[in-house]
Amino acid sequence: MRDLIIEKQKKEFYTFPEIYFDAATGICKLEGESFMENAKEFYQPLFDWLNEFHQKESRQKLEMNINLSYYNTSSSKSLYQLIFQLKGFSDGGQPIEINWKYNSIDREMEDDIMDLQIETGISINMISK
Amino acid sequence: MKIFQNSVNRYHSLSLNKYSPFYEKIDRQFKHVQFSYKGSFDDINLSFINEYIEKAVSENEGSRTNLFRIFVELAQNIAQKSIDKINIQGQFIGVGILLIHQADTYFEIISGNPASVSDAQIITNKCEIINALSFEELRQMKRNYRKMNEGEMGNANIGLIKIALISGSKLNYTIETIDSESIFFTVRIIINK
Repeated sequence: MRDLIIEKQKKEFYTFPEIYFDAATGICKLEGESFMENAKEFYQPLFDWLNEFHQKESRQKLEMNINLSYYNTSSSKSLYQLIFQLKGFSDGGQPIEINWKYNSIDREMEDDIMDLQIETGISINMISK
Repeated sequence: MKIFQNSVNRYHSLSLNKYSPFYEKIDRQFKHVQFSYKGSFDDINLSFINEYIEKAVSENEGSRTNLFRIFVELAQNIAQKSIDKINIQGQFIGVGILLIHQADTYFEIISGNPASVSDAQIITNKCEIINALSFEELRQMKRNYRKMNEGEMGNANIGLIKIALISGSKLNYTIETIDSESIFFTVRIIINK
């Protein structure tokens, strides 16, 4: 299974985060800004990669490290989907760890990460920086 | 200190149409603002507006973040929902107006766009429901909407909720009739510094 690597991109106004999903270690990074018109299109390869990893390495720990300074509404729905997907893996017995770094003054993001935990039912380690 | 050094009016050479008097009316009503833009809300122009916001409020990260996030929601609403469209490289992009005013203790961001008359009641209902809810009730509403599939609702509902959550203020909106087919939707948001 290959790593999933997407470089950070800026296309005029829109910004795409950096992705590094490591197939050997199960350590995944999602970092930067997620701000795009059609988040579903961008996030679909991430969902597919995670599904494949789960099918092939269902006993291996999967660590998702998120460090986003901003995400728009469209991305927010995809992030919900991603976290919910991890919750499904966790329910199936796969060890899952989610770490989410956010700016300590960003009250909105802090609330939103807490909301994502309530919505999905999985615990997220919130790391204020 | 005046953060905006110059007023900016970046008018596109858009052809006059039945919506033009409504844009002009808003522009006259808010002639004191430091930033005024009317045109298409395509990514190139959004980038231009964003650069302006970044320069304007560079010394206050919290205010800049809130202003930027609300601007994004309003801009995407115009891009998608405005019925005044222009064709940019095969894509039909919404046209609208966006103004930013800065006072000592707050920013005010104003957006306006024409919408279909059938949307008038939907917009009114959304705004009235959002305005009636507390902060925690709005969070609950956002959680409910986010869980729904794309087909069940657009992002616009969450967008308006996010605006109310970020600003902590009510959606001050107006809907004016243009003709039997269209209305003009304006919303004013106060963001405390």
